[in-house]
Amino acid sequence: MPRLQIEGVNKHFGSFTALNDIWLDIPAGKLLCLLGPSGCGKTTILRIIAGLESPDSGKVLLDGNDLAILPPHRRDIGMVFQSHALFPHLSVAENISYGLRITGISKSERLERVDELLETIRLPDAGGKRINQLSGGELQRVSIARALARQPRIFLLDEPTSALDANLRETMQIELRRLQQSLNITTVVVTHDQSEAMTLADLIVVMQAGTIEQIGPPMEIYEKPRTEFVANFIGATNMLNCLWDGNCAVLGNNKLNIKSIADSSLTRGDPVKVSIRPERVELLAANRGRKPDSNQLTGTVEFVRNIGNLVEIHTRCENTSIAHTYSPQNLSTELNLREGDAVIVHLPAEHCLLYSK
Amino acid sequence: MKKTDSEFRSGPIPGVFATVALGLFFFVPFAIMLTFSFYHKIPGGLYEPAFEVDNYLRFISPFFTQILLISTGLCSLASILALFIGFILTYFMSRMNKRGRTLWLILLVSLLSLSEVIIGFSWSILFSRTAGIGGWMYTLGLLDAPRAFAPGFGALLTALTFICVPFIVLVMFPPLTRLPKEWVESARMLGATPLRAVITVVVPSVRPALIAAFILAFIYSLGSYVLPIMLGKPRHWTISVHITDQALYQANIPFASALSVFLIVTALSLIALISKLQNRFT
Amino acid sequence: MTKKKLGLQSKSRRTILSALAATTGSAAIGFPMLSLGQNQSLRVGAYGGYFKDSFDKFIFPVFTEETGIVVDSIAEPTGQAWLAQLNAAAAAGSAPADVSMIAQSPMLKGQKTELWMPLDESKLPNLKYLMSNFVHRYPDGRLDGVGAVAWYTTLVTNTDVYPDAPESWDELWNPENKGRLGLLALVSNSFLLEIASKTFYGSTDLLDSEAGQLQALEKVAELKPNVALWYRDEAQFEQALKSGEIPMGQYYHDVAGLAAADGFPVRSTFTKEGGVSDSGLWAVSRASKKIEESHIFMNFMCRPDIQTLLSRMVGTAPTVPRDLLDLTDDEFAAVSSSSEPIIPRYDIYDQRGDWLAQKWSEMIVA
Repeated sequence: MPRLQIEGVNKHFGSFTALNDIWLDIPAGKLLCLLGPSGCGKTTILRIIAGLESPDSGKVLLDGNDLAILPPHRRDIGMVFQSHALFPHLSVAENISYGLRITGISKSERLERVDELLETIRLPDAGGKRINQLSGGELQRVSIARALARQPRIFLLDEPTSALDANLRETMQIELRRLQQSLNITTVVVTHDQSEAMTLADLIVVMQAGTIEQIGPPMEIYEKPRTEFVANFIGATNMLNCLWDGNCAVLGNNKLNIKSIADSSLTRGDPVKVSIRPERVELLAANRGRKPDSNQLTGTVEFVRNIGNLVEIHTRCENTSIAHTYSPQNLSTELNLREGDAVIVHLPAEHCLLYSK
Repeated sequence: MKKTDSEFRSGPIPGVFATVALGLFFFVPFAIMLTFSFYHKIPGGLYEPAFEVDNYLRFISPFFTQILLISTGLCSLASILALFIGFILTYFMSRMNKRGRTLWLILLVSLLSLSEVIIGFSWSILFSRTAGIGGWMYTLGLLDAPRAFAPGFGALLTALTFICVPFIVLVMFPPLTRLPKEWVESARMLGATPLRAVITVVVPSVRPALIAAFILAFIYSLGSYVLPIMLGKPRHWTISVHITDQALYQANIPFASALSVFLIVTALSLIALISKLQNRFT
Repeated sequence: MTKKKLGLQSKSRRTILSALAATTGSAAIGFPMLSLGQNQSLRVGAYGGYFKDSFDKFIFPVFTEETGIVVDSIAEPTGQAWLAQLNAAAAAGSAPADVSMIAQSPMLKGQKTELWMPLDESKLPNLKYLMSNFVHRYPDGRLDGVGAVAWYTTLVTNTDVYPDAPESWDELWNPENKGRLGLLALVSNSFLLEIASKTFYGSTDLLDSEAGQLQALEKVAELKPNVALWYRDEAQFEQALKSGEIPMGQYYHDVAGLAAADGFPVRSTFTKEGGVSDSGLWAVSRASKKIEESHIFMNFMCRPDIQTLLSRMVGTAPTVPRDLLDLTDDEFAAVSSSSEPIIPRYDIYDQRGDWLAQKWSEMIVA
């Protein structure tokens, strides 16, 4: 399986900058997710890899070879479109074998390959069906089978599960990840759904407005979002507006120590933001008498909900609402809090992330 | 709440309206024509009511067989050419931006507003020896002597094709612009060249519209009277020309009616045949 | 069922027509003063377009001024359509026009249904001026039409291509003129059978018999390779003649003369066999109530000075002999010729029209 590199790609549509100096390196056999809000340029990258758009400048390299000279039909890339783009005038089997026919594979070989693929997508009897007889999930699976039929060198998927309902989406994500791993095919997936990205990806690229915000493995992106945008986009977070006093952040009258501070250009009085994941927040009973220390704020519970696998508690302190979540199985460590209870909120320094404005 | 299309369609009024309109504008004139086609032509005079099949028996001659074959052959050929050109044109239009599409549509619709006489006249000049391509080709050294290409088969075929193209575009424009562009793109990703993608994906997807467009062009060109007399030699005069001659110049209304009935029946059976073949394929 | 519907429809149409006629009648009775004296009127049908416009401009005002009869001119379609309308209206007892301009073959067709009112020759003293071919009669001798307009179809050439004028219609058959001719497309308006007969067989008497007609058809078939365009519409040929695209053919003498006067390289020639003289007649529908006025009108139209005016202003060939006219040689030559014309054999189109048309079509389509 080849390695896919994107080097310094720029793309404009009229006066709109779709991509601004994009560099990517996707190791062979890995799955990379392009994640970002709509209009951030992620689909444009996919279409440039496919050859359906050409970059204004920059290169796409496959195992070191520039793809620019190859038209889409000679790139040997499998692509699944957001709208699945199956051909309604052909049956399921004919759709899957379309690419094989174009390549000139013999009929017997085609039939064999189609059966094999129908088996892989767990629709062994669907070959004779028409496209309009398929459900949403089946459509998605057939379009995946069609894209993989020619055993492409690269596999591209554009929002593969966006048309499916929530339950089916998760099942499809898991299926897709297992399929990709078993085929060990270099894959790029475009999504705006962070949990899909977390499920599928070896590497996540978070994008915003045509630029890359951060590249990294899912957990690294989650734990160490490099920018406020990434922190907000991946998972839920508490984002606290503070001021910098020289060596720690100040929220109201409370000092927040931050363990690692990357930005050395901050000066006293600069507005900063402190981010902490809800599950990293700790709540302590106010009547335990522990004196408010650094990273400990007094507050009042204003909202509690229990959604079965998760309990979420919002506490108001220093005129800011701070969310805290925990798993109800860990009952022993938690308090039985209700709205109006006074609590102490602990924001452990090692989990606080600092962003300058 | 807004009524949906199907609610409108299922109501009784549209059905009644369609029946009345069809009756008024097709069946009644057709019935009158059918009646006249059995009337008796008074030699040297007009006609009198009668019921005789003499007018139809006149068709059974090599002369009218030839006219029918030439009419249908010429018009099918023109319609196929128009379909080919119109499809390609519409396909490229469907890939343009909105401004480009609108400009092309306006251009093509404005062609429809030209009378056939003007179109025929323009083509006859363009194909002429003194002012047209026959002269230019001589000037460029492509011909030994200037020559006229009109009247002639090529000139007539060109003009008939020309008048049919806007109809093809108007029929093909909606389905082709609605066709998701991802279909062609996914065919490309599966190894198809652009041409192959169009042939294997676009054409089959819009086949019913293509057939409808062909039928429309065929019927329309079959009804053309001006172009054959302006651009064709006598052997290219279609059945419409002979109908007009009979009705206007020979004052033989019964025979003109019989020819018209025959033309309509031929056209309708061709449509029926094509629809039947289409149903068999799908 | 369709028959029944049709019957109903034609009945209702007739009812409407007679109702209309009745209304007109009662109006005349209701206002008797208006139908007397200077408010007499006459509805005259003329070929729509050039002829009607010219008559409206130059001829009818003179008539009204002299007689006090107001002319209500009606644009009629050429050919058979007007005949059909007159016929249907006459059957319902009404007339869309009192006097109509009628071509020769519809004139003969109309005779079959006694459509034309027999005319009173005592009320037409000017009839004596007309040349005999402009006096039209029923087979039994009753007068039913007088010459209205006449025109010549001649051999026309483009002077750039043909520096010398041709002398005979046989130029149409000259193999050197391959692909160079523009001829009228129908047997009944090209009169090529007459031209062939006169040119190659001495006179149009050849066409008396079927064998002779076939012989003439064969002769015409010989010139087919020379024909570039068989035209129905004059404009189509005129343009090609002026440009030299189609440099020879048959065309209207007066129109060709106008083109030449405008500086186009076009010439009209009366060949030694003569030009083809075609004409239209004035005839009165038998349903007309304006018998008196119609006679006054027709008598007026036969007058030599009116024929002079027509030749000068409308460009028609006179229906009276040259010596009665106040025309200069140039004016006369622009519309007519003293040489003996080829007179179309309207009788054969009347008797064998369908057969001839069919043979003709087969001949030129083959």
